[in-house]
Amino acid sequence: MTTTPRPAPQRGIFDEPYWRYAAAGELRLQRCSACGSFRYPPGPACPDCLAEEHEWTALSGRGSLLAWTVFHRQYFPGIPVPYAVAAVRTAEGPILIGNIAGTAVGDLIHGMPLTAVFEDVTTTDGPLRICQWTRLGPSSTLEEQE
Amino acid sequence: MVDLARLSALRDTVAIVGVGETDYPEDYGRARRGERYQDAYGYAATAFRRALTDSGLERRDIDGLVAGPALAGERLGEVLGMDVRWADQADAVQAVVKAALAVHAGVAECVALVYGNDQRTGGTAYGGPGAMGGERHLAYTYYAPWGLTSQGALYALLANRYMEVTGLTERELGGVAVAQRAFARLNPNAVMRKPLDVEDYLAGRYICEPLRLFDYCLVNDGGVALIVTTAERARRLRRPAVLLSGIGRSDHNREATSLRPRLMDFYRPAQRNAAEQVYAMAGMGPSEVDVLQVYDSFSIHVPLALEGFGFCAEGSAGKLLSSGDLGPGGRLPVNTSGGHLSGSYMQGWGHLAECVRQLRGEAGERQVPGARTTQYISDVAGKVTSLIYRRARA
Ligand SMILES: [Zn+2]
Repeated sequence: MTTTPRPAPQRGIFDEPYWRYAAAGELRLQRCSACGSFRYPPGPACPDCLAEEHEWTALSGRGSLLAWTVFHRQYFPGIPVPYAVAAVRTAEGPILIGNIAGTAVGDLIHGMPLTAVFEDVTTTDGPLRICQWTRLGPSSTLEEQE
Repeated sequence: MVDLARLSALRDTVAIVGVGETDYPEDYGRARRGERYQDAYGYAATAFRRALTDSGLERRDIDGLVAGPALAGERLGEVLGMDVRWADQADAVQAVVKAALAVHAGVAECVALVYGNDQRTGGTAYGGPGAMGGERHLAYTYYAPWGLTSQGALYALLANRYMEVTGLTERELGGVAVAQRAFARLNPNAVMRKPLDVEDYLAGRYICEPLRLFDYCLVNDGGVALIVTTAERARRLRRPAVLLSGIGRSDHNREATSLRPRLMDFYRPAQRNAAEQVYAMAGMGPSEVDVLQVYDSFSIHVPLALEGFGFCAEGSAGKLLSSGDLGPGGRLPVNTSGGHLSGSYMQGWGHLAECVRQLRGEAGERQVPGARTTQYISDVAGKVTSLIYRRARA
């Protein structure tokens, strides 16, 4: 548990379920009931078939490292630099953004397998549980990394 | 579907007959000294006065007005004392496209395109929680809880992935900043004119790795104005007319916020579509471009444009960037005024003015000898637009 205040998320009306599931430690995304496409960020219609109907489907939590950037300029008082932000390609397809826990910036490798973990943070709007990513490997359990 | 017959009917029928810019280095110096003596409308008014004088037209001749994104159309009309019969608001490339369509359709005959911005003295934030542009590009602010905001950070993510896929090195990317600084040194109206070589570039601090200080655009105040009219009327004016020969546009918005077009496709499909249209309409190809202007809020825009529009093969831009060919005396001069990196950050409007100056042969020491065709390529977050201009035959 960190007390570092991070910026609060921008929450449109379609975002609420995402954050409610995240608070329960679940990574779920909106998925079209008609054609099965994922929708991210959440929205009012399926970009593939325009259907409204959807379910909030649990992801496997598996992904791989697509790209990252290391922030050297401090834009947020609550997040000390340098820190890495990663784009993660989930096994199901959607690309999600997160920080990488437990791996030094210099050890990041394109395509490295990752798994979702949840981190409790403090934001400018209060406490929040956010989805982060950590290296997936035989000797790498969450307990060892904390 | 692209209807080439209709597009071709527009070719070379609309001309740019006036350009005006503010004094960027002087205004930058004043801003650094903490002086605040102009606002966005003040810069806009200065640029408009100069463009009008340059064109030889009178203010009463202007019957259309396009306001830049930082200006309110009503206030701009009020400040400039202009009651027009057609008005709109647009970014740099769309301003030209809209004005051309209006002139072609006859809803206006002489259109002023006016941009002003006090982003430096006004303290516009391009990073942080309220990053500029978040209302138009959700990705600029959506990931704030993870410390990811700003256009720069998103292009840094792209650069990280692009380097992995193509093998582009940081040293090669430095070729963009170095070539544009060399041009800026030949342009008395460029803000950054100190020498910059690739070692200086590599010694620059990272902002969002792998992008460094010199990969980022300036933030400075200023204004730009252009006057657009029919090719017939342009022939009766005193300046050599610059004709609009090609327009290409293609958007890549599917999954924009989740960054797929940016990180997986490098916006290439949209670039290819826009390239196909602009070259078909102008009846030419990239090898016939004498001077290229590329929207460069970040250096990485340049290799993307070079590959996307066929100036080199996909994944091969690195060699071209470090070859010196993009700089003064090179085979493919790019951003000859210094661009956003070293010249002035006028959100593409300065690039439009530079296209005109090069074709008129008025670019002084940085003039590309005998330039007859210029192209502008703008790709902001997958909204790819390109324009081709030609010098009218005397
Ligand atoms: Zn669907």
